[in-house]
Amino acid sequence: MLKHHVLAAIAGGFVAAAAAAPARAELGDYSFWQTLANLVSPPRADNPVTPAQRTGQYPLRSNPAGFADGFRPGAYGEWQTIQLAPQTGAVCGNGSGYKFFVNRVANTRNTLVYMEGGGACWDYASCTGQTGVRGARNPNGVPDDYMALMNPGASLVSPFVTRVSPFDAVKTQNWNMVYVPYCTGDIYSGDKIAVYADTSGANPPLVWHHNGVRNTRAVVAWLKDNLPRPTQMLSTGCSAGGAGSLTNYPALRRDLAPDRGYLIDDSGPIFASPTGGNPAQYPSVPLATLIRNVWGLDAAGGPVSYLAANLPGLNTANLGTLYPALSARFPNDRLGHTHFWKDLNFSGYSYERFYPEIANAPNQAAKEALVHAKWDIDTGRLRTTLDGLANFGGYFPQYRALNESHCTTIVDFKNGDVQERGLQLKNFIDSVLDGSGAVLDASEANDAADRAKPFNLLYWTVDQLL
Amino acid sequence: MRAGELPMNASRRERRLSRVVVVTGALLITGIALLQLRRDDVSLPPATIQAVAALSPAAAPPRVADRGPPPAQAAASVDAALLDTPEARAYLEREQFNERARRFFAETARRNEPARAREAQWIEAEIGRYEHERQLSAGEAMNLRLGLVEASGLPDAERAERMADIVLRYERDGERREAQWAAQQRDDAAFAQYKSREQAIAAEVMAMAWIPDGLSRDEYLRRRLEAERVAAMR
Repeated sequence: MLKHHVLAAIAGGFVAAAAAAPARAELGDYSFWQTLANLVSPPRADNPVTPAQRTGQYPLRSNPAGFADGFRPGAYGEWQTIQLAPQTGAVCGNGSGYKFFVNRVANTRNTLVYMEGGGACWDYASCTGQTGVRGARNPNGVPDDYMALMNPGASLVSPFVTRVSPFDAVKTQNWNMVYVPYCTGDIYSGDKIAVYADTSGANPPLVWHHNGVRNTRAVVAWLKDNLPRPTQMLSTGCSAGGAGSLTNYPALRRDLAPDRGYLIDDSGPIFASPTGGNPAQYPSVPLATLIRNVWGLDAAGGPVSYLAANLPGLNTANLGTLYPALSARFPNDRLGHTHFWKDLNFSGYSYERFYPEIANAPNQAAKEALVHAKWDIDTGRLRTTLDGLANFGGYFPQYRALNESHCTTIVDFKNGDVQERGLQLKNFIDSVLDGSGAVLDASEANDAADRAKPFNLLYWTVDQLL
Repeated sequence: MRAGELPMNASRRERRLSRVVVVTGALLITGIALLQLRRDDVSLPPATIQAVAALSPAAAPPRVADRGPPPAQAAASVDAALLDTPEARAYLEREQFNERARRFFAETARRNEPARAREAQWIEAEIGRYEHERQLSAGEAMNLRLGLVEASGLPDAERAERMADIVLRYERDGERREAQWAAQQRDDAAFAQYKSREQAIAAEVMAMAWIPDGLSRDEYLRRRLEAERVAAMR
């Protein structure tokens, strides 16, 4: 009995605290009482797909009427699996159904869209997930209970997709969360059904759906049809998810139509790669040339022309111009890009299979030195580009003893510091999400201080999963 | 209970404390509800009022159209009803977990050991509960559990061992679920039907000399396979 009363008092205390707080702590937040009302009467979508949006290039295609998508509007706080029907155009690389995950809250309209990372693929070996080759996540599709499933992607969960992180707090932890899984191997940017031959001749060709653009469009259609329009929206992700956040931002931003838009591309750079450019000057040209072909990027009416239609400043012959084009197209949005100078993962994908001197390096140290040298050229140019864009910040720390220094925002926001300026990664994130004026730009000159840090048991443990 | 205190006295004290707690809680809630009434944003749409009334008939206000109580009075009743729903209670509990967990991780170094251990135990139990209810993903739950070990103050070797145990447990669970997913796909007749046709259609389209309707080969193949998936789903 006493316990019951004490619980009541705790609830009373919580109510007192909530009521004492400002009615709207953030733009887009509901008042306390409206939050309680939402719990029993969930707010409906107020920005559904329009007839006009169902036509044209990459239309928004909704689930057919009566399709069981699995969504329960009142199931707040749960990771809900949302199924997308084939009629939406969505599909995983192996032809299985595409699905994504929503964790809805009652207290705000604000929404985080998080794209999962996980490599890339462009041939039989990499798309089938053969060992020894860098490939892409989820070659067998996405399980229904994916969010309850431990895989390397989940082990690297970012504080952006946790309600409570033991390590870091960020305002988006109170927002609606949309987790967009990765199963197409095309950094959410492709649109082609590839038929990859098995070079060994032992197996039939692999039919693989590089369907990233259409999947993202189907997710957007569902969000519009089922949730309130976000007042604030952050689009983010790491690695392939960072790149996908970048390439899909124009359409996501336009169609979800938040009052305030934010982008943080973590470690998914789209480097300058002019068509026919000299690889010595533009080391990402060979990769860009290959993927533009195998992912169908340059098809008539395909992903690049779609991007260009929404981004007047884009030079379609050089996708590295995405950054200034986005900055100009959305001058009031706050945008950011971050990665480590010593990233050895995305750089591996970018150069290893395209430069024989790297593939044939005599030892690991020599190989890493060659990869770093090319990454330095690409990163240096991107840094200079971002330095010139007021609303698009660039944050480049050196090294972290986790995941080959790949992704600055996974596990925690720590050890992404730029010591010479007394900055932490969180300063950059806050600058994007809460700052005013120009978004922070920062770059670290060398990795000595980072490598001198003491052993980190948590990072070591998490690395064992990889 | 203090040494030598009579059980009857303790019971009386407990009842008195209960009354104080209840009265204080009620006053707080009423006061806050009244304060909220003075704000502009508490007027709820009629649909919401009806939804609340359906959930908590005893506490719900009479319909405005029926008897027409003053709007403020109706809103106060609705507010009280909103606090009394199972949804509100679950929400408040979850918010309390979030808040206590955040505070725990932020203030670990300042807590004494018995208090830290007690709070860690409560948080761990709640992690299990919310993970079971799908309110925490595996990644979130594992990170929280690793965070608890980090905050434990145990020697490095013991922390390493406990962390490894946690990671291993999640890894094994993940492998089990992956195997289930593979089995589910194998047993999925619709998917099997689609996959059996996918190869054949791709080969057919790749060999076509002429593509109908002025479409590109890629677009034609995409449409054919999409139609096949739709058919397989029926």
